[in-house]
Amino acid sequence: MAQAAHVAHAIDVDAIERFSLKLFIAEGRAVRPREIIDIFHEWIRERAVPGLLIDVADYGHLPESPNVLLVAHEANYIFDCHRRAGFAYTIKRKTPGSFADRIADAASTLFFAARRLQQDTADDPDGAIPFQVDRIELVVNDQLHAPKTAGVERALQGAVEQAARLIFGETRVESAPLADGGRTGVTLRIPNAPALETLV
Amino acid sequence: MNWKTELAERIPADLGAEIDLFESQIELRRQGKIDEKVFAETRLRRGVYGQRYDNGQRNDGTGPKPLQYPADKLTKGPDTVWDAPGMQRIKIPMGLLDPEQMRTLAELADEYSDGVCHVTTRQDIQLHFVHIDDTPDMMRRLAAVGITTREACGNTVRNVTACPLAGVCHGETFDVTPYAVACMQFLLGHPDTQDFGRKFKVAFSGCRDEACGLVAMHDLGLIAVTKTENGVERRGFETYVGGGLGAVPYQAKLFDPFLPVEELLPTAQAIARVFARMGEKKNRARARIKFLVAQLGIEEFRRLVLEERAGLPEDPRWTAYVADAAAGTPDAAASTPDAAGPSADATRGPSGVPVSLRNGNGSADAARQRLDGWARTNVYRQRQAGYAVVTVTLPLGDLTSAQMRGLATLVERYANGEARATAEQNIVLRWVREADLGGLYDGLRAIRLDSPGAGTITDITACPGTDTCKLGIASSRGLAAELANHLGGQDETTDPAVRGLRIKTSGCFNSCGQHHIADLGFYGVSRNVRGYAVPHFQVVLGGQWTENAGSYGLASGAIPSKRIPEVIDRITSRFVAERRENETFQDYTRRIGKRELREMFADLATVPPHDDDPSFYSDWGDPREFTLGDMGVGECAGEVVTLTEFDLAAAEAQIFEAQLKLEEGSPAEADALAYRAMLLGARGLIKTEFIDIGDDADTVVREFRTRFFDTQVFFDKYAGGKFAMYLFRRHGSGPRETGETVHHLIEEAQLFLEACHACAARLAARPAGGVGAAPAAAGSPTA
Repeated sequence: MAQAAHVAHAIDVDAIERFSLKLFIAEGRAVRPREIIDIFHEWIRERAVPGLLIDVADYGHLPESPNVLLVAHEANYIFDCHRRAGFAYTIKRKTPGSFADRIADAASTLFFAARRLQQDTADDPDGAIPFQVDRIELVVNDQLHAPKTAGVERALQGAVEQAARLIFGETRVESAPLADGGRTGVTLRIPNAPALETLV
Repeated sequence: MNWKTELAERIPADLGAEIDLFESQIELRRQGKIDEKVFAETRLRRGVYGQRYDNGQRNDGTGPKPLQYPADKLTKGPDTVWDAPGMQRIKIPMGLLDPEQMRTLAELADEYSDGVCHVTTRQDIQLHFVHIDDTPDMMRRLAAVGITTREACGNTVRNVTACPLAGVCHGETFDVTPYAVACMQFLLGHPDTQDFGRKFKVAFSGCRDEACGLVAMHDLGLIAVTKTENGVERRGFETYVGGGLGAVPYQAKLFDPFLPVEELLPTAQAIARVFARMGEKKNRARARIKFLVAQLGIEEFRRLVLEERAGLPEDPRWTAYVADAAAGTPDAAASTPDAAGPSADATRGPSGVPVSLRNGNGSADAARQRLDGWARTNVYRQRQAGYAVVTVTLPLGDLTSAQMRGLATLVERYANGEARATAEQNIVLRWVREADLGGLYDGLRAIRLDSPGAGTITDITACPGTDTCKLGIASSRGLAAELANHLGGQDETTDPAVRGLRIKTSGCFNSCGQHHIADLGFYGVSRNVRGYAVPHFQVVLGGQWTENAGSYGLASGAIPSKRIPEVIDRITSRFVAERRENETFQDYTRRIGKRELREMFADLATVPPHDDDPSFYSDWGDPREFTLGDMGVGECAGEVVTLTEFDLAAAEAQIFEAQLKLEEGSPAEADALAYRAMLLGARGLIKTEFIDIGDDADTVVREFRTRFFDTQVFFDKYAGGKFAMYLFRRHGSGPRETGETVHHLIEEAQLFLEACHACAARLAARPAGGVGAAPAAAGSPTA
């Protein structure tokens, strides 16, 4: 929070520019960074997922996140091992719309790419990468508009739950502040989330 | 709401105004009101650097593909697309960081980059994949915590570096930190440092013997020394100028054996003025100060500088800091011996003093062994009793934003609020109480920064290479990661002489990975094999890390990238088996000689056919088929390349022979062989158009100039024709005479030959009917 303390104002969540959504991989399926690297290069060739896809960065030597990065102009696709393996979509450039709308749009792209990742690993001896859709993590990377101060995560929860209704319809959702001392965010739980393929 | 207003009270007015101006220049460039070349140098001077694929094109493995950025034709420099991700270099003088700065860097990495902070070989931090529109806010947030990116790139005084142990080292003469700080502050933005033809790098060392600040490879290098006059000890610097790595490395020359500290800043100013006035401006390849010093000779250069110094108007800043510096840094003042009580049970050594840890976390035997193993390589006992320096080993110089935040907390808790980035791409924590080492280790383990092996064979230095650098030829980071995995089993059973070796990798000849000063250095090159480009690394042996980068290694042959791990295995095994008592690796390689080394690796130089093993045709960590650009090979061109490569192969042999002759103490013969190698390389290219070129040197040079230089066919996209100038210069000026100048000639010949290989590859890729597509059976020399 080097500079968060110097930004004291009410949180306007719609002003937030940069954020990340992460979908977790079900326990028990090991993912090798090498296979992800190959797939990401293939995605660039085929323009398989949304965005201007630029390059693949291999951070396999780092223990957590990012592990493998598909760099795009608008956002990055990240194979992420921070605390628990998952697949993240990180927005870098602001687009029009409310924060809830933009979360919903990002989730749609994340689901699409995750589904594609499943399909591209279907022939793997370990089977397709299984995702848990009942839990999504939102991390806000915007110290100006959402510094990690008291109350910020409560302000985020409203937008996240609104986004969840846009994505999943009227279903039960639960949100809680991210239990991560260094980052600002919300964990969203959707107990009755449908299967990934039905969301794409 | 924006960062400019939010941080207005925290940003020094002058820094804030500079950043505002830069933001305005961004807007003017958007409007087309600033020339792209001018804007490029403007942003470089603020550390805003280009990155690979920023020309709007990337080869996806099947061929070059356009990257259609939204800003379309707007550029931020020649052939550099506005929206393309770039790199932000953040100057960290002496690598000094406090926790607030570390947290800010973590925030910037998360918000504007890819969540990774990268430590460079010059104690900077770099963030990659940054959009230029975000850079003014990044600069403001850095300025608010006391960091400027001004003059991090461009033709300026770059980051001032210093030994990370300054102030706590057993062997230093005195703490150079306050002098380095004063030098940095004085030269930053100084009017006399704004008109250089190229960059200018300054380094400080506390002693001569260790690697310390790597003085010998810097434009201006300063080693702390003292002198007693009339019973009074005076501080000064053994001062060197004109060193540098780059394509052709130069050892710095002794400028003054004792430059009093009071003369440090005025002399640096005078050197800057002479460099600005007399240094090359047009030909970037000859614009570093090392060329000026070599051209003038050190005596004449010294005379000019002293003359300049004599005419400088007095500046109170020259000496304003000296009294405080002599009194010691706050750290040193606080370091009364035994301040932490009796020291731990420790054994002193020349460096990397083993520390037997007390207590720690009270863990079981395995954990205890792990901790002791870490302490043996990563803990150095300070000069001040009871305190230690801990090296945090960073793989490839990288740490995540989460790790940076965690480390900031540990720095606050255990390290007196200060960390220092190192030239080996690690971070050191100083002033750690020995009693706290166990707790610190646990803290590092929690954020997975507890890797042992600092300063050993597994602690590999690598420049960005093809990952992000526009000039990268091969994947230096991919190779380094592979070698780190490969050598991961090197534990304490490994022969200590091997364990202590240093590996450094660069993606090209420019030596950002400092391969010249490693025991085992590698730099990326390409070879055309059966019509395919194949990533290789030149093996550079015999460089010296200690004694401030005391000597440079020479290339010993190009080996396919995928066989470099075997190179390491083979030479280290041989070294263990054959070395004499107390023989260093450098002495060993010198004793067995280059011929033996070349033979040792001869079988590894082969590349299997593509169909037999396609893995040789892609680089480490990148499944795409390797390419230097838009290469495609036709059969006719392939045949031409075969003729050309005959001469190129012969030229390589001549360079090797030249190295042997130099090693044997025959510089005249070495000179002739290196020159001959260049002529053969040129002749090989000429043969793509004119088979009957013959051997006459004048004819070869004339034809090469006409067909390849004047036409710019030989020109590299980034280096232009600079490598051709090496041939022209040697041809025009005659033999070199001293060992050092011949050493340079051999390096130049090697680079010229690499450029010939690259040119041949480009010619081979041209469609049939293009220039160089088929050799004439006979032909006339062009006029």
